[in-house]
Amino acid sequence: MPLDALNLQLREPYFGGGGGGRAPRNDALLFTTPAGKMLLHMRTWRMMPAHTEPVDAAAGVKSYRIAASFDSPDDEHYYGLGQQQKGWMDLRDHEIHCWHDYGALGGEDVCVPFMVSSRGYGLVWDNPSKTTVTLGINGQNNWSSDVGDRVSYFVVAGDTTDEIYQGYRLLTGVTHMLPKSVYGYIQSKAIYPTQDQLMDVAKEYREKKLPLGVIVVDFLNMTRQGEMDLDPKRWPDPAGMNRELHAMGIDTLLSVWPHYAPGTQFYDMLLSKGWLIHTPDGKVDAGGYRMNTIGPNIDTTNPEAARWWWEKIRDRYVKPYGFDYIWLDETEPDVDPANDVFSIGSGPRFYNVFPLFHTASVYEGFRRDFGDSRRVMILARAAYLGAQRNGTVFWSSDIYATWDMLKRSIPAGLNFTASGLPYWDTDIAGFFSPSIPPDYHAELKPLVDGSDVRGTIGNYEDYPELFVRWYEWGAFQPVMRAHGERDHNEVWSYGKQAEPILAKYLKLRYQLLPYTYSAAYKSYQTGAPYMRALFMDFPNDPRVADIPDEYMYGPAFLVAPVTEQGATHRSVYLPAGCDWYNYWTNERLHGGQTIVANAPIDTLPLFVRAGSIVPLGSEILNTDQPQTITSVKVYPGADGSFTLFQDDGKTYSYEQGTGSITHLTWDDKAHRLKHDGAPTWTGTDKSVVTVVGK
Amino acid sequence: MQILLAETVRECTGRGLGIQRRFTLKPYLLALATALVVIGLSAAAVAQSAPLVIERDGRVISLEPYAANILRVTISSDKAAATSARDTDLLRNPLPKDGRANPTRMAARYSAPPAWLCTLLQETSRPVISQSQCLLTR
Repeated sequence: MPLDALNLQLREPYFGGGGGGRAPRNDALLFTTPAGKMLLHMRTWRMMPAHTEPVDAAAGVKSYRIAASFDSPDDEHYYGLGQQQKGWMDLRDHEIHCWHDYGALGGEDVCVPFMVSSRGYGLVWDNPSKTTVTLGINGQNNWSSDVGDRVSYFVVAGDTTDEIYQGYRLLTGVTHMLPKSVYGYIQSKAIYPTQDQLMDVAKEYREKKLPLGVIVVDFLNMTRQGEMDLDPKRWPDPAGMNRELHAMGIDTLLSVWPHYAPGTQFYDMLLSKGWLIHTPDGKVDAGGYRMNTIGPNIDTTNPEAARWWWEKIRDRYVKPYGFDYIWLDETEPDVDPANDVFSIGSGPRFYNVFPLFHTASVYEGFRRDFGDSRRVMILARAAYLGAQRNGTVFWSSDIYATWDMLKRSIPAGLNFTASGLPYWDTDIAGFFSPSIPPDYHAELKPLVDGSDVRGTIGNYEDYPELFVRWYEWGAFQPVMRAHGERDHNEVWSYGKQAEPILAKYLKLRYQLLPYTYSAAYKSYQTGAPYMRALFMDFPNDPRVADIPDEYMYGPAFLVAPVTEQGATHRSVYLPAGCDWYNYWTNERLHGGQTIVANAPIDTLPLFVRAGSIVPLGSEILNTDQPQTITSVKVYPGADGSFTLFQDDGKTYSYEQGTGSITHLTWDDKAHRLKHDGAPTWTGTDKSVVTVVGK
Repeated sequence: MQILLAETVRECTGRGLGIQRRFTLKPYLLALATALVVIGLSAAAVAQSAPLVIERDGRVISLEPYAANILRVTISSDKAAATSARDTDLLRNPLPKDGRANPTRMAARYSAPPAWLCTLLQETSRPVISQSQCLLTR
């Protein structure tokens, strides 16, 4: 409401009022679809003078704090915006700190300033500085960035959420197919410190005839941080190790940190070229890390430094030793850039972009040097708009191994993938061990007896149960990867009761590979994720707007992980508009109701949408082995279709259209499955196709 | 491209005095602002991805069609920041040529309450961007 002139005059010295350009500008913009459907209404915007860093001034840029406010109708819901681990699904009524923050409440925040609204639009906020987004408070959405010289955003409209993701893909880049082995299972631990230990684990998987696609060499693998070597005492023959692993069908993922300690062989050169991230006065910034042990980060926003970084990885790890994939840890970067200078500009101005440049350095290097011959996989801890185009998998950082974090992780992942980056996973089952007091006992009697592995779990008596529940969920994450700070972390590490359950879900993961791989191919084509919060597929069911612990895995499966210790059942809401099948019992259920699902410790509540077609593959131990389609399960109750994609799993030749595509179509009325395109099974249809419930 | 330029000019300039008072625009600035809307739209008629630009009292509002369902908004009190520096965009995804050539199908309406209401983009029939109508509202 307006204030009189005297009131304004008195306030001006205290609050600035409208002076100095601080007042909101009332240039409003209303966006609608061609049919007139209201999408988004920007009401005001601001540019408030702020301190300009010298490096930005030298580039001719003035700094302002910039902001815009939009209407937030009561029935609007919001998703995406990167990673928040506070348990939020619908982001309405929350304040989002859109900047990378390793130490954020719950677990690392990651900024991807792309939000999807239930009203049929997405908003890409094109500002890489620290950005605060408040959604729904006082009927408004406010976007405010610390540093900028303009308000810049993209509105992406879509009749479906997948159309919005197609727009995001068009703007920011394609999510490439990962190497097929990555869709299987990744075994990791913090850390396997020696070649012998790593090989023993790999061999055990093979002896137990358990599938395994990738094994991980985590950090602390070098003689000194920054030498970019492998400690020969612990890794005497990395090339031989990789040859042996490859012969077993197992690929390797090697962690390479971006830090360089003084006194290591490249440090002086990097320092002299200005390629180490530093403060405006030229001093390198190691943040809270020990300068002489870890040191500052390389600045891969500098194109020359980025090229050097990749070429050293290529010439010191990839070519001589045969490592397949690179884990680019500490991706934020882990030293707060607020007081630093990047090659592209000041840390405050470009606060969130390092993950985009850092992952691009290796992805683009791979593509430059290896062409289409080998697919890239990079594991990274932070992301940004467009980072999905760099062959990346993002993990939820170093979270605590607790039931609480299991619960919070599900909506964290759903909002991350809703940000347009389909590949996200967690450390199964958490990274840090919580502090467990000596007199600790689980609230309920653990459902998995860990008495035979006390040496591994200590007195965290319900950890085997937590590991099992997390692992069951992990089988339905875009990428399945076990990792964490524990002495042992393999399928057989959590006791005799746990092992067969873990093996069951590991084998299910591989049985479902034809389905998962095809879902991933669709993500490549459309940009839409295949780990899908329910708002994406059920926009007409208002009850799904804020369900944090259920999601669709591809078009068929509704996954409802158990997140309560001692629970043997959980309630599951089945979205309206279709029927559902209990995957384990084949019981048919109506949508639009909440049921209580049985969930004994070996059962992940899992449901299949009526009208789904699910191809299942033969048992394999790795993706080098040929996998045949042994079964195609049809869940009747609606017409349905599925596009099955198969190819070499290793190269980018699919970009030129190679690979085989089979269209499977279910005519519910005629009760008939048709298929055209590449033949995918050799037997008769009758021997392969199963109509569930028939 | 179908833009009703004559109608646009008539309606906007026909109510010029009201706008001038509300925004303390001098007549020549008002004419300039109106012309810029028209020029922006005219440019869009030639190169469909060119931004539509409104300049008002030191504020610059730019709308740039990117694809059928994508519209870019850039606003600044710094004209250079609002209308240039495209090469510094971090998104840096080379848009497919056919993508950028597509006009947007979205509609956008500009207003500066209580005086201005201006339909900037509105699909009339595919693949045409819009007609433009600047109407004074009180």
